[in-house]
Amino acid sequence: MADDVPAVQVTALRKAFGRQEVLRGLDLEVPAGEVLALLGANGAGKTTTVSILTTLLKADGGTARVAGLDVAREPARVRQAVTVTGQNVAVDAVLTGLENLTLIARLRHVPAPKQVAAGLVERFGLADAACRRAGTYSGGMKRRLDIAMSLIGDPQVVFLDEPTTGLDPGGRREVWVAVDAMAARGRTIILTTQYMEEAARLAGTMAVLHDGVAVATGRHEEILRAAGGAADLETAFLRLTGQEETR
Amino acid sequence: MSAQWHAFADLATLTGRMLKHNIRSVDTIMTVLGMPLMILLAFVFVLGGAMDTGPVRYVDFVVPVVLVFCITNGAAYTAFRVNRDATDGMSARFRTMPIARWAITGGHMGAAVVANGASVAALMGVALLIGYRPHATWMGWVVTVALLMATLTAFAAVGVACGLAAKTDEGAIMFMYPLMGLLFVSSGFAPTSTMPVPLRSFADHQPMTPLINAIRGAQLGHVDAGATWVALAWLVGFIVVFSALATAAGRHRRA
Ligand SMILES: Nc1ncnc2c1ncn2[C@@H]1O[C@H](COP(=O)(O)OP(=O)(O)OP(=O)(O)O)[C@@H](O)[C@H]1O
Ligand SMILES: [Mg+2]
Repeated sequence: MADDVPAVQVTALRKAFGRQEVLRGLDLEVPAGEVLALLGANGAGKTTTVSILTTLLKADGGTARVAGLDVAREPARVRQAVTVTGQNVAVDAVLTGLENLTLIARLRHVPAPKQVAAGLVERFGLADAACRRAGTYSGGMKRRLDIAMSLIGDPQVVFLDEPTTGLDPGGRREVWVAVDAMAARGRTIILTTQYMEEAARLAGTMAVLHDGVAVATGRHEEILRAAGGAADLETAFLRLTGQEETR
Repeated sequence: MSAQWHAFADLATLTGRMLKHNIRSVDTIMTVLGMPLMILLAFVFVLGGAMDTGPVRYVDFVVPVVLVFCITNGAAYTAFRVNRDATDGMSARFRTMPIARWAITGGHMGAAVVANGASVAALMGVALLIGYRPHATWMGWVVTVALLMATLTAFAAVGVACGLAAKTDEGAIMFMYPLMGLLFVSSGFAPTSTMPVPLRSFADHQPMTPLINAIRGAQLGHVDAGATWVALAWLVGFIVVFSALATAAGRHRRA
């Protein structure tokens, strides 16, 4: 991917579930190498957006390009370029942690899948539990395994849908370190989160989703300005998503 | 490496994954191997004496239905596992990865054929130990293996469709009950000529009867070409219809 091609380019994206219009003309552009936090209240359409960009869902209208590839026309090539950690943990409960990682490494056709798996087990603090079935893991351990599985193959664009929900401070730190490391390697990262301090810590830019469109996009200061000069990100978020009075 | 080669390697990887699921589940082994084994022993040693199957010894009569029963139970677990994958996010994970779609379903089908095929072989071994004496010609063996392979594939396809159509894993297994039910109203355990007329006309015209008659004929040295073709037609029909249903159910799931 050439540096001047945006990693993600979404234009007038629309998606409805039955009568419910979730996305009503979403525009979004993420330059290559950027870390973007996609913010929005529960039900705003963050997961829907991630699903469309990762070829799991078809949009009703508009266009979405990832790594310069149209997700509707070239889904197979998009899948080469992306990796996803979904909002819900997706690990194989019957396989051990190590086997889960080896499985994904094999499917990604990386050289030496077993070594890759062993390395990730160490890195994510799962070494002691590596040979136990993932079904016996705690919620946070499953989440770490899930994220580790999504890092295999080192694709250009990484989607993380609420990667730190349910993690203890150590686990959250681990994910942050992994995100920073990927960003340092020039990967583009799109993450969703409900923690404003996490968004501020990790992401260079943010997009706030509300009523099916991006009501504000830009750097930290730009989001504050878009919210009429809010004092902090949380205030800005509540204002932009129309929840100010409930504070 | 070509995309085709990748797809076959992925099929092998995903088949291996589902084989682990089969081997690590006591429940699966009990149902797919244990239950048919008990049925075999019970029917041969407890009920067999009271059964009139003419010149054919009861053990020789009952083995085919036991094999098909084993395959049916195995396919119910395919339905269960396909549903689990669809609901717990594994299949969503696979679908965001560069893996051929057919290889994802193929992993379930491949594991069903291998694991249930191994159970069939094991049951055949036990049957031989307790006095089963097939006198199949080489043609009879070819027909037997072809019919069993087609059954393994066709019922696995039914399992995939049921797994995708059901909301829950329990529902997926329940969708498979009609297939199991057909076995008990077939020529498997007793000749259909001993049944009351309405039941008999049903038994004679449902897929399990020609399938069992065809396997039994091939095993006992007189290949029944008519039953074999009817059975194969049913099985191919199953594969076509349930593959289409599986595709539709998969699409509906993701709409
Ligand atoms: N498959 C579906 N069928 C019907 N409605 C759906 C489906 N998927 C999502 N929705 C609805 O679309 C809306 C947006 O859902 P989405 O999961 O994208 O929100 P989100 O921003 O990720 O929320 P959260 O912060 O709670 O994860 C919700 O109202 C949800 O109920
Ligand atoms: Mg979500």
